[in-house]
Amino acid sequence: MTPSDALEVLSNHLVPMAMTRAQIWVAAMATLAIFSYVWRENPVFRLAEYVFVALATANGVVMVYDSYLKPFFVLDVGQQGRYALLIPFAVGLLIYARSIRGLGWLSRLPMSLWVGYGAGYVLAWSPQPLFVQLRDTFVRFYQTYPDGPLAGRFWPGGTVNSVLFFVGVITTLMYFFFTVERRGPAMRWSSAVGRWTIMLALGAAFGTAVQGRMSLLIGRIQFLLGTWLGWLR
Amino acid sequence: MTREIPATITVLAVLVVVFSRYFSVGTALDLTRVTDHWLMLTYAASVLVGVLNLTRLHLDRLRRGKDTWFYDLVLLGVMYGYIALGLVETNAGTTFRWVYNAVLVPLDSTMYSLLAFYIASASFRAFRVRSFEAALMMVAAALVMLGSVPLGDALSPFFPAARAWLMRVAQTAGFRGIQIGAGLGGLATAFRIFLGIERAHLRA
Repeated sequence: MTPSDALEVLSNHLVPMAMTRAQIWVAAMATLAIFSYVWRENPVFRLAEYVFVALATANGVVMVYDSYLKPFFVLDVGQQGRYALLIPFAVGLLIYARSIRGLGWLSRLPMSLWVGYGAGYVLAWSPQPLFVQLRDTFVRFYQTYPDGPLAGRFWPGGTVNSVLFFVGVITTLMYFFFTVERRGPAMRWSSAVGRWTIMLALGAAFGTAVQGRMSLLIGRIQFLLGTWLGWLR
Repeated sequence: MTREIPATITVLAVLVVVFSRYFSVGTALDLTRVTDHWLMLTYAASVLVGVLNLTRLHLDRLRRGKDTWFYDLVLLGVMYGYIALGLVETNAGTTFRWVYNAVLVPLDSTMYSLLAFYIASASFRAFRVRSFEAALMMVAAALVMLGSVPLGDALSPFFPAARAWLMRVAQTAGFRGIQIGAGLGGLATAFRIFLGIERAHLRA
């Protein structure tokens, strides 16, 4: 499968069609069924929940079939005769052996391949971005205005931020440093500042997550009131 | 043999990936692309694991005569029906996409939007200010939310500025520290797997 074919499969899947009136009604019922859980657990919600699990699982299977299995059998093996590719495919099939009594250990073969590949990927590819992050932590404290009428002059705000950033990173690492017992004011205070930094970071992440969910909620309400009922213009 | 062969495969897989990354012979052979393709095929072959697990679970519940029999039947019927539909007319088929747009997409986004209610109740419980740390987290979350909406900007220019500072300095510093720690931890775990010290995956 060429990249453009893959893109076409993906775009076929992601670009929504203009919905027909029947689709809008079905979508509205599905939305209301899920929202009914706000009232309490009920049979309509449970039905929607089971349908959701079924459709999501089936959709995943069809996507993998269209994106990988079909091109693999039709193009790679059928047309180009790349029979060697049947080996990894057969190795992948061994995962189903876990249900066969006496042959369950065969499922460890694909599992060990995946784990080994993942570990190899970490060893081969993760040091570079990790060291880039480390390097970028040690920024120059003395900052100047990057542009504007004061460009090149001392920038107090930027300098304070650089110091705070450096202190935040180092103290966060100190918080997770369990090799040495936290005795003495230096260890205790650096660990405490690290905890505050983590709390600020998690609070900011939490606020962003809430906003994401809220925008989804607003989208569904807009769909119900606008697209379905036509009350919004 | 049941453990030695998988352990050997693990070590070989690590070596192949590392070799293809760091050695020019591996780069010349374009090993990364080849091994990535092979790996994707092994993943693709295992695509039915989820379907089979769901089938076994719900058939088992049907056999036991549980009171969820109607939902179990619906789940199995819809799942296999939708798979059959996708195999017949592909994921770009008219009926397949009709169901996708009218049922799956709304169910998916509504399910996630429902988390807004859970988050609201969770934050009510978590953010009751019982300590200085909890107060810091609550203030940061409130400032980020207020700074992102027009109301915050209308109230004071302080809110968008505070949000920008929190995201650029505090959040980056906190997550940078966590990422560096997690990255070093990941490297250590990968070494343990390579050396055969970590063998949890062989117990499956």
